[in-house]
Amino acid sequence: MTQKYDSLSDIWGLKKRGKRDSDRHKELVEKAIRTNGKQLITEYDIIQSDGDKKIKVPIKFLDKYRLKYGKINDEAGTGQGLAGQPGDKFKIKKGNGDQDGPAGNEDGERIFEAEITVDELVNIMLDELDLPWIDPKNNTQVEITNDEVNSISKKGPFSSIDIRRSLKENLKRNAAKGNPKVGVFKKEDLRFKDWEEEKDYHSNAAIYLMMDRSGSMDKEKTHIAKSFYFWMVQFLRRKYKKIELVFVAHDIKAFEVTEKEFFTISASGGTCCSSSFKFAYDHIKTHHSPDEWNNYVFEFSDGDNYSDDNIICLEYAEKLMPLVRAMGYGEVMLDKSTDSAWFRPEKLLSNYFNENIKRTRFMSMQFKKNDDVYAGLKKFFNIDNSKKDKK
Amino acid sequence: MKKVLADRAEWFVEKAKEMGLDMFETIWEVVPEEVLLEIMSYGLPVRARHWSYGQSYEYQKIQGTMGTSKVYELVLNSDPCRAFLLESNSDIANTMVIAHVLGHNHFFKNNYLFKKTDRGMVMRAAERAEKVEEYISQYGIEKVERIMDIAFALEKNIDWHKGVHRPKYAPKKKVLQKKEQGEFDDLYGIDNLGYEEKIMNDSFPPSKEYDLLWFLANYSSAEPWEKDIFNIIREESFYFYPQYYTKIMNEGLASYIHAELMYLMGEDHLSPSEYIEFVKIHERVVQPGGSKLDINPYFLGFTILNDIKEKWDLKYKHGESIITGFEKILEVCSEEDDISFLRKYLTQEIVDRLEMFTYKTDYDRNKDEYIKIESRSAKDVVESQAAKIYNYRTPLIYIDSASQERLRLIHESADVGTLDPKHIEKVAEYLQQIWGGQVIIKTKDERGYSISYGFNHEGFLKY
Repeated sequence: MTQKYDSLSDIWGLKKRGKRDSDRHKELVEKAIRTNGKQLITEYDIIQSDGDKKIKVPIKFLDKYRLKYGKINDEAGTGQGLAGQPGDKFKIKKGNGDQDGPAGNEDGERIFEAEITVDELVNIMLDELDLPWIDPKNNTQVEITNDEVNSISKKGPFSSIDIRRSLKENLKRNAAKGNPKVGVFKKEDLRFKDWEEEKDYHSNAAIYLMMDRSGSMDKEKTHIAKSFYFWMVQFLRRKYKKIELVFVAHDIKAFEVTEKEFFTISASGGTCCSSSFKFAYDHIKTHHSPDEWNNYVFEFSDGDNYSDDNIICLEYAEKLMPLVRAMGYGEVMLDKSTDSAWFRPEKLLSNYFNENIKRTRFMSMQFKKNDDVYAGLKKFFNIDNSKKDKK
Repeated sequence: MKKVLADRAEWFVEKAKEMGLDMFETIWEVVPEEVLLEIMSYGLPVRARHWSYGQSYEYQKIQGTMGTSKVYELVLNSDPCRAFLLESNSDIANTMVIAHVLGHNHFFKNNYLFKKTDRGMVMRAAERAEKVEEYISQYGIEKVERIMDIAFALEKNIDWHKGVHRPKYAPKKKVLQKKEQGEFDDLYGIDNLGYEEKIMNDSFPPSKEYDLLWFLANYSSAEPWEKDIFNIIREESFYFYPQYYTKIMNEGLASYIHAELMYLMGEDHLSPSEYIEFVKIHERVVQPGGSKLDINPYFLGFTILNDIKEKWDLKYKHGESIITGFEKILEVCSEEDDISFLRKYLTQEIVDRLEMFTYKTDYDRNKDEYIKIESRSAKDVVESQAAKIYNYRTPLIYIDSASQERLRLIHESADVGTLDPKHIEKVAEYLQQIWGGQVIIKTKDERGYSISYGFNHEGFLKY
C-alpha cells in the first residue's frame, strides 16, 4: 500500500506531549498542595508514613470544574448478567474486580490521586511554611560535618572566650596525661564563641513529645497532637543531624513510653500536666545538657488540668526555658468541649501560660480543629523567624 | 506497516466494499504504546494543551489499561480516516483491529449525527494547538489555562440542533424603532461590535440559549483570543458529541463487521492457530464484561444488531421486507442514535436473554453497599440507559436573560437532579469572570425548593 499521507506521529513528534502536560499537571498538584496545606497536614495517610514511602494524596481540588449533577433523583444503574427478581438485594464486593471492557472517552468520575513521597511533601510544606533553615542561604550551615570545629572557634577576641568549653579542653588535655584536673591553661585549650555562626552549629536535637493520656484525650484529640508531632519531627529532622525523640505520656504521673505506646495507650486517671514538664526537666538535666543538645519540649493536653497544678506547670516551664531552644503547649479544645457546664476559660492552662510567660521561645495555643495544626506549626517554628527579624 | 498487515487491510477493504460498506480511505499507522496512550488521553493526536490531558494521561498509565493481552483500536472520525495500531499487538490481533476499524469508518461516514461533524478536525485541532501555543507565549500559561478551564466547564452545554455554525441573533424590528435604536443595531448586528456599547433589555437573548460557549464567544466582552479559545473548545465538543451518543451502535457495528470479515478471511487466508487466537480475542470483546453493574457497549450493540439481522433476513425471506438483514443493519446505523436505537430494537427477549436489569445502590445497617434490582422490563432498562447518554449527561441549563449588570441562567432539568454545589460555585465564578456584573444560576435543592447560586464582585452567594 502506498502512503500518500504523512504519518501523524512524525509530523507532530508525539510522545512528548503527554509528558509535557503531565509535568504541568504535577506542577499544579504541587501548587494545590501548597495552597491546601492546611487541610493536608492532618491527612491520616501522611502522618502514618515514613519518609521515602510513596503516599497517595487525594487531589480533590484538581477537578475540572463544570456544570454537573450532584445527586440525581431516582438514579438507576443498568446491569447485565445477574439473575433474580426485582426487589432482590445483592451485596457489592469491593476489590480489584476484573475491569475488563473497553475504556471509553467519557468523562468518568474520578478522584485523582497524586503519588508523591512523604519527603517531597514535607519539602513542599517546608517551603510553604517558609522556615528559616530551608532558606537556600542557610543550607550550607545546616550541613555540618564536625560540630566541634565549626561551633567553637580556636581563635577569637578574649571577650568571647567560651569558659566552659575552654575548661573542658584543659581537663581533656590533662586527663590524657593521666591527671584529670583543671590545670594551667595553654593557648590550645582556649575556645571562643563564634556568635555569628553559633546559632545553627549544634547538630544534635532532643525532642520531648509529651501528651496527656488521661481518659478525656480521645482519638480525635490525639490525632491533632499526632499530626502536629509528625510535622514537628519532620521539620527538625531537616535541621539536625542527630535527633533523639523522648515520648512522655502522663495522667497524674509522667513516664517515658515507646512511640507506639505513646499514641495508643490511654489511662483513665486525672490530669497533672506538671508531671510531664517535671519529667522533661529531670531528663534534660541528666541526658540532654543544653551544651550539646538543642532541646525542644512540647506538651499536648485537653486543658482538663487540675487548676492547682497550673502553678506547678508554670514553675517547671520557667525552669526549663534556659535549657531549651523552644517550648510549647498545645491545648486541644474541640468545639464541643466548651459546652460543658464545668468549662471555665480562666482555668485553662493555655491561658494561664499566656498570661504568665511572654517569651518568643515559648508558645501556648489552643487547637480547636484540624486546620489549627498548620497555624500551630507556623507559630511554633516562626520563633526562629521572629528572632532573626529582630536582629 | 508490515506487509502482511498491509495486504490484509487491502483485502478487507475490498471485501467490505463488496458487502456494501461505504468508507473513507483509511490511513494506518502502527505506533508504540506510549503514543497510543497519548492519543487516547487527548481524544485527538494533537490538541491545544491543557493540564487535564496530562492528568488523564497519568491516569491511563496508572490504570495499566495497555496490558499486552488487550486489543486496542484507535480510530478517528476524519476524512481520510485515521487509524492507529499498537506495535506490540500480535499480527492476528492487529488484523482483527483493522477489520473492526472499517466498521467504525462506515459508521462515521454514514451516521446522521456524524454527517454534521468536521471531517478535517484532526488537522484543524493541530493547527489550533499551535495557535494556543502562541497565546501561551503571549499571555502566559496561567491566563490561557484559566480560559481553557472556563471553556471546559461549559463545553458540554452545547445546542446540537442549532449546529456548530449558526448566525447571530436576528435583529428585531420593534426594537429598532425605539429611541436607543443605534445601540440595538450593535446588539443585533452581524458585525462583531464591542459589548461595551450595548444596552440589553429583558428579551435578550431572544429565546432560551443553551449553547453557553457560543453565547459567550459572541456576546461577552472577553478578549478576542479568549473568544477564540471558547470557539476552539466548543467546536471540539461538537466533534465529540456523536461519539458519546452512538457508542453502543458504533461498537456494535464495528464488532459485527470484524466478525464477518474475519470469518471470510479465515476460510482461506488464516492458519488454524491464528483463527483460534482470533476467536479467543473476539469472545473477549463481545462478552458481558467484568462488571455486572455496567453495560459493555460492544456486547450489547453486537447482540442487538445480530437480532436485527436474523429478524430482517426472515422478513426478507417471507417477502415482508425489501431489504436483507444486513441492509437493515446499515440503515439502522445511518438513521439512529443510541437512544432511539435502544428504544426501537432492545426487545424484552434480549433483555431476558442477557439478564439485564436496572438497579439502585444503597447501604445496609453495617454501611455495606448493596444493590437492589429495580426492574427487568425492557422499557425501564432503555430509559435508565438513555438517561446516561442524554445531553452528555450534563444538566440542561440555559441563559434566561443577560444584561450588563446580570447574567441569569436557569437549570431546566432541576427535577432530574441537583447541581453539584462545589462545581456550581466555581462555574458561577468562571461565568462572572467573563461576563462581569452578577451571575445567577437558578435551580432546585434536594427537597425540590427553588434556590439560586450567584457570584458577583463580592464573591459567591447562595439564596
